[in-house]
Amino acid sequence: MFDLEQSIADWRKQMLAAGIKSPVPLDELEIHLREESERRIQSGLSAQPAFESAVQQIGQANSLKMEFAKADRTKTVALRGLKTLFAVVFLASIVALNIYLASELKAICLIDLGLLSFVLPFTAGSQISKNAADSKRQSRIVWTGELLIGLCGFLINFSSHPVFGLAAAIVSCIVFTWILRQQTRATVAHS
Amino acid sequence: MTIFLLDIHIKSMYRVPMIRKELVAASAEPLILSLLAKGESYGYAIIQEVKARSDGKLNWTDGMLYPVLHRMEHRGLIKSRWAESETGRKRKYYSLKKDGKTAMAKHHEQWSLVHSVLAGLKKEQYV
Repeated sequence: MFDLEQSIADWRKQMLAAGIKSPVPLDELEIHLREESERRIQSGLSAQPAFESAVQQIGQANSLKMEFAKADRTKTVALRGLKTLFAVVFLASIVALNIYLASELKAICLIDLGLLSFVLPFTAGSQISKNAADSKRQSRIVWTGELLIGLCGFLINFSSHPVFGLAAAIVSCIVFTWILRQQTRATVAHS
Repeated sequence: MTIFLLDIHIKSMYRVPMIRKELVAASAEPLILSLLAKGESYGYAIIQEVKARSDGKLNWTDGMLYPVLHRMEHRGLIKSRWAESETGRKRKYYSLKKDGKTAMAKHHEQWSLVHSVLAGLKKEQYV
């Protein structure tokens, strides 16, 4: 005896196994499958052939996954643009702050140090670990970046000369931008 | 040999001429935008309307519509909301955004241009 609910549950498992992980498209596809099966039953087919032909009409899981991946890539590219903009604004603001407040550089540098050596690399690093195709390589990139940024922070803190502070801040920003660039490459390659 | 030729003849006479997949893919976005310009709709209804309006010649693989809808949503052309239908079934309804209207106008302009060039060339052939 054909069980529609069981067949739909099996179909969902196949879709999940093929890589359509996100629940939203899967729910939409399931609703579509139910409507198409019902329409075919109303047109005279019995339940099982109606369901099977509706599944065929929806398409193969692998090709669907590839199409959904394209949609995700669009999102990734938009995200990459946003991150690049963020990195550029961040770089410009740090440089401007260092130039404008040269006399109070010490205090500003403490904020720079906190941001550059912990918060931002951590954010970039956590994104890499989620998306990296080669996690070991990405991990090395993050740790190298962390070390360089930490070294810059050290220079900023222990140097009384504003030029050193400025140079260290610029190097920190370049390293941070580089980490972001590696991360977006990994994301695009992964998608 | 005779049977083979006959088979080709039968196919060419009675087979419904389907539209090439490249053209189907290229026309998906303008068609979806134009359908949504009439009011919000959901995936299944969009497919059925396209099939009905093309006499079944524009045959989308049903599942392929959803990635296209999602991509258009990411690009800010359309928006979606979950709602219950009159039968109590949950459906995801899509509607046009301002950028979608602009994109639709561009599509119409471009497709009209292609159509007018083709029509002009066809007309010249018969002069």
